[in-house]
Amino acid sequence: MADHSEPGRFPETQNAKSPRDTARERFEAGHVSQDRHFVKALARGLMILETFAKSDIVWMSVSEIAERVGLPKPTVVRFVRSLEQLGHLYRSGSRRQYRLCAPVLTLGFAARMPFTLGEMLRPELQHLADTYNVHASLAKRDRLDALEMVVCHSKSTLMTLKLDVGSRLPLAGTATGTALLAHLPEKERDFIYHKLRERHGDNWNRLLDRINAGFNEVEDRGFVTAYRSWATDINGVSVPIRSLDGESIYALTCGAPAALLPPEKQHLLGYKLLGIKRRVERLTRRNDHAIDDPDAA
Amino acid sequence: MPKGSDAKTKIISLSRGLSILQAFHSRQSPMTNKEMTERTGLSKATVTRLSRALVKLGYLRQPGMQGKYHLDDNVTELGNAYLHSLTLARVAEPLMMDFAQKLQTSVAIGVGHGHQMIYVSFCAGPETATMRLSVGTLVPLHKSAIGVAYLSVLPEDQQAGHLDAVADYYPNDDLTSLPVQTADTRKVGYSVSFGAWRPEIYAVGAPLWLDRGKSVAAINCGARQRNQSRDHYVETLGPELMILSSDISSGMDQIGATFRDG
Repeated sequence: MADHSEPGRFPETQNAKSPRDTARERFEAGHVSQDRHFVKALARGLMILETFAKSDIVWMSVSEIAERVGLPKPTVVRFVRSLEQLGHLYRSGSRRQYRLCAPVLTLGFAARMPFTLGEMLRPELQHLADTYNVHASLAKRDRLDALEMVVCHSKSTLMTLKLDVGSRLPLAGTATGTALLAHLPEKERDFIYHKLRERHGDNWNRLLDRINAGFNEVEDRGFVTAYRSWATDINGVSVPIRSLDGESIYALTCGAPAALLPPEKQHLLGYKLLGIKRRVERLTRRNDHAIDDPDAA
Repeated sequence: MPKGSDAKTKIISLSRGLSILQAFHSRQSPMTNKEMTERTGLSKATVTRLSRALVKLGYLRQPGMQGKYHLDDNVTELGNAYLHSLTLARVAEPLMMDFAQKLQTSVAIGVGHGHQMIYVSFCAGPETATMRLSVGTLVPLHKSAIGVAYLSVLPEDQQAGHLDAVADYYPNDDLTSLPVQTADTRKVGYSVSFGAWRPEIYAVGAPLWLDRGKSVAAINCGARQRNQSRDHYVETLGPELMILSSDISSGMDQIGATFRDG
């Protein structure tokens, strides 16, 4: 409204339609309102589903959800009912609470999972694990931890390393963690360092030295090694690798009890991991061309 | 917002938005707005807005300028949040893994959702990794051993709901043999599918009772058909799968773990 009270500042001619008029016309014709409606409903619906993911709480009542998402309770009631009807939430009558339900897996989950880096790498990792008696894994960063996405054990590491899909390793001080930090944009890295300093307190400076030494290793030969890190007696070697779309960093790691993974073997496996990385990158490049779509508008 | 934003329009708006994410299942690769438009039946303008919103919300990303949309991390987070809450997987997977190794099949647990079964738990056997199945895989309910097994023990009203959804989604499929198949399954305890879903896959399905018989899911085992004869599925895998199913049921009940309300 302010523009009308300041004549001369918007020298519009009378007959040209202002963008706002166009928008109003579209709104009144029903084009825009519908779109907006969809977007808003979608955002809120997902926000409610995400509270379950973010809070690690399985069951929540409407009031608990409302409190967490910061929406009025009546709004939340309407949304949880819709989500329940669509199958994404399940309501327990006896608890009077909601939980996520299997159909959330239809929201892209498997479409993202199968042909990922993990699927592609698993056979290679299993081969390394079997041949060299180590565990071989693919991890990604999840907040301040390295989260294992694929883990292949050999007979000798199955018992000794309590590592599995979903296991978490500290970012600081492990080969995996260093690889995950190596190619992060500076801003993001600073933020993580800040948080890690809070977590590790007095140990942080020592860990930071180690991380920086690891970065140098990555720079020099592409992989980073760690001696007796993580639990106590584990040696590891790790290579940073980009996701198939090039957007996020994962770590390819081999590890074993220190006695089974002396430095020479660490280096050998470092080069093996680099070889895997290169093969994947070649495949990815080919895929990039294959999915280039001339129709992409 | 127009006054008509009652419960019904809300659910429609929400389901349309979510249908973009669901469209990725049938396609299994990155998509342009145009492809999403074709798959969802929404208008191009709506899809453009929704996909932009999904990028902001962390469910899609568009790595190149104006390129295809890829699924992003939040898709995985949401699925993982559900899977972490699933006691069933923790109880069942060690048993499923043994089965998969011993009998050289993949094993999955699924639940029905409309016209499809959703895998909520999956173990690949040594020779089955290339079948490209995983947790979250969707299989047509009426064309799979696991779907028929699931249907066979559902209360009638729920069964009818699923059958309506199947008929809606597959208007050209002949569903007349389904009642026979479900009746057979109730009689012998397991169902078989010799390539009905994917010609190369043979599978056996059985109901999986949970919550002391109050809830039901279904379990299957399958492999590529070249590995084994049909007899092997009927004579060995069927009965073995029934044992696995009851082991999982009692494993859950023993530790007091529940599937639905747990």
